[in-house]
Amino acid sequence: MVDGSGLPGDAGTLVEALAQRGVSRRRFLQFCTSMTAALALPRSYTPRIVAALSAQVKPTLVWLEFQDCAGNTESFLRSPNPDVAELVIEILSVPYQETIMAAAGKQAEANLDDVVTRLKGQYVCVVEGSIPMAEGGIFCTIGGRTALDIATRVTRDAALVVAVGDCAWDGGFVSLGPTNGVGIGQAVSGLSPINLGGCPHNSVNLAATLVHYLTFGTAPALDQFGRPLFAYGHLIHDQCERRAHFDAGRFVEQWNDQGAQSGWCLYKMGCKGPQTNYNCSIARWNDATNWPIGAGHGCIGCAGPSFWSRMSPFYSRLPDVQMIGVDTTAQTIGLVAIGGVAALTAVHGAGVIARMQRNKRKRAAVTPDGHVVPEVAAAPDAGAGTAGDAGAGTAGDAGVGGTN
Amino acid sequence: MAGTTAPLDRGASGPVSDPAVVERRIEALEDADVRHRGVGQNAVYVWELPVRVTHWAIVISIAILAVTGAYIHGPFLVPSSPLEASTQMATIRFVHELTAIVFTIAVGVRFYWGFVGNRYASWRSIIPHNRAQFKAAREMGKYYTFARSEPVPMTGHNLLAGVAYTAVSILMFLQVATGLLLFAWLIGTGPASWLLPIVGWLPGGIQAIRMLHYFVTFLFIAFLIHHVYSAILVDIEERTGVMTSIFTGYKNIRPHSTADYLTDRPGIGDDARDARTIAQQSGPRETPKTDA
Repeated sequence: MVDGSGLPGDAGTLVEALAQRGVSRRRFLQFCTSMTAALALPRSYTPRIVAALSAQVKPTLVWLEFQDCAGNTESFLRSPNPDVAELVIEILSVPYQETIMAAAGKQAEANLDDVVTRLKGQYVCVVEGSIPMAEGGIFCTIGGRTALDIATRVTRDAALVVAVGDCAWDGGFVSLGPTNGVGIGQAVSGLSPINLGGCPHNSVNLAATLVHYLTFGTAPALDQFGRPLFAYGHLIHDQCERRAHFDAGRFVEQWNDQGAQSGWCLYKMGCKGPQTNYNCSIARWNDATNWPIGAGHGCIGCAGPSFWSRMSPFYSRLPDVQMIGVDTTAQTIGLVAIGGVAALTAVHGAGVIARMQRNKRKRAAVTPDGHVVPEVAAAPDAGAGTAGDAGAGTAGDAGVGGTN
Repeated sequence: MAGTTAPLDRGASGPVSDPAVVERRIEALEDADVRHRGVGQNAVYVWELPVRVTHWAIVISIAILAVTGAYIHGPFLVPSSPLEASTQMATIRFVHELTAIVFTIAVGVRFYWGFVGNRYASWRSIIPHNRAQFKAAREMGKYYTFARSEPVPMTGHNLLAGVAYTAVSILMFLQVATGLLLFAWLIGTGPASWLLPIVGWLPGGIQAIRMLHYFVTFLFIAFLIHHVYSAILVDIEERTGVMTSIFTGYKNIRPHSTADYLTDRPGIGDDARDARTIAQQSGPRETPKTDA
């Protein structure tokens, strides 16, 4: 499956390779059609994709893996049927992918060096996992070289750099740890990778991105985060099979209640579908079998930027507010603010009433024509009952007393 | 504003040191105050129609937005039947968005009126920016903390209320801005879509905007409590008809009894003497001769 023994770039055309593997022409056309759909292109583009891939001399892909859980590799490789991953690997020559390459040790590193020097500007580089920046990057070294060193060297001469998963995009989960892990775009200055966010990324989107590149020679249209718009251009909420229940006001109130069993909307259980752009509900997982919301669990927003910190807690609608030493909610703070103002108002009202009672003797009365007049001239000591009125009140009392 | 006030010597906008100049200006402004007078001996037209209409539009729209927003945050209603077709959430969201447009227009019109309306609607009488105004605000602070027995009498806003309205205005703009960002996020395309990239660049992203939008509503409710209370309080203390004035536009102000002229004109309120006058002034300066 993996072109580990031969030298990169000399494996012949795709058609020959597919024939050798026993992949039928029909299966290949199915793949091209599905890629057309994934890229949100009209069906008329399918022949163009078929032609481009058929004529293609197998391009070379290297897969760098740093601080990660290999989840994106798993997502890419683990298909129950010969599917996207296998076809993509047939389309591409993959001399370096830690999990599946035949070579090991010095031989593997030599393969990588060979690609970088011999195929300068002609290979595709996929990055998985974050790159540690603390302590000179010593937390992740391969063959004695730091992740930053390897990433800088390999991405510099790549024709296309794709960051798969959140760790390679913005540091992901690892960025919250002590190694100061960052994404490839942050680690290597001047690099603008295609970011396939998600935890893990969906292999359909990686395949479609590569097919787009092989067919049109360019990266697909990207959003502000460098994510392909064909996969990250729409809200999950707008493509959700449970959306009708949202609009109807039918919500799961607690796990395994009647609503959960009826497949109602998971909005109240903290689903981040309305906050997340992804084609998760379309591409799905495990050979397009299902996806999280379809399985009854709310979206956790894994395709969004910095989702581990921004989207948590995953089972609440809103993030917590971090106070000194304790996390609370915006609602709690808001209710405390209202309670505080109400209490102050009540206390102040009581104070005003008390003052009015005390000042009754000198209070003004309303005449029939609406004028306020003092009933008696204020005695000098009338307002001196409390310290509060003693100072600033003097001039005011004089005013009420009609000296003006 | 310009049409109803007497011509003023606005040449000098800095502090005025000559007491005679100050006296002359105060007299000119008091004459202007008299020209405001409408029906009835002491009725002064304070709140113009756009001020009253936007006030009530904002009150009603905030009430609707708070209730529908609370539902959108945590849907507390259950459709009548789990089987029949329902558009409960969709309808309430639509009402929320529609009301938000009304709110935004009302806030926008009131903002505009702060530049073209009369002196009581002007931003100059709301946002404290000269010495006398800060002094008046401090004096009102003393009143609210029982260190002064009477409010500083003002025809329009008192200056401490002005500070509160400035803060609430900022919250309103914040609410409009976060609401538009959320709207842009959800619709993706259309006139608001150019706002979408902003959501991505803001720290905390879309969740922070949602939280802010939710939280500010609580501050509006807290302000509502204070606002209604202090309006009733001042109505009782000053007996100028504050509570009815927001319906009719007119307040019952005896001539030369308020301190507005000292605080909302360039060159007047900057003087130390004016600040002193405000500190001393309290209650009616003229007592009608109808004493029993």
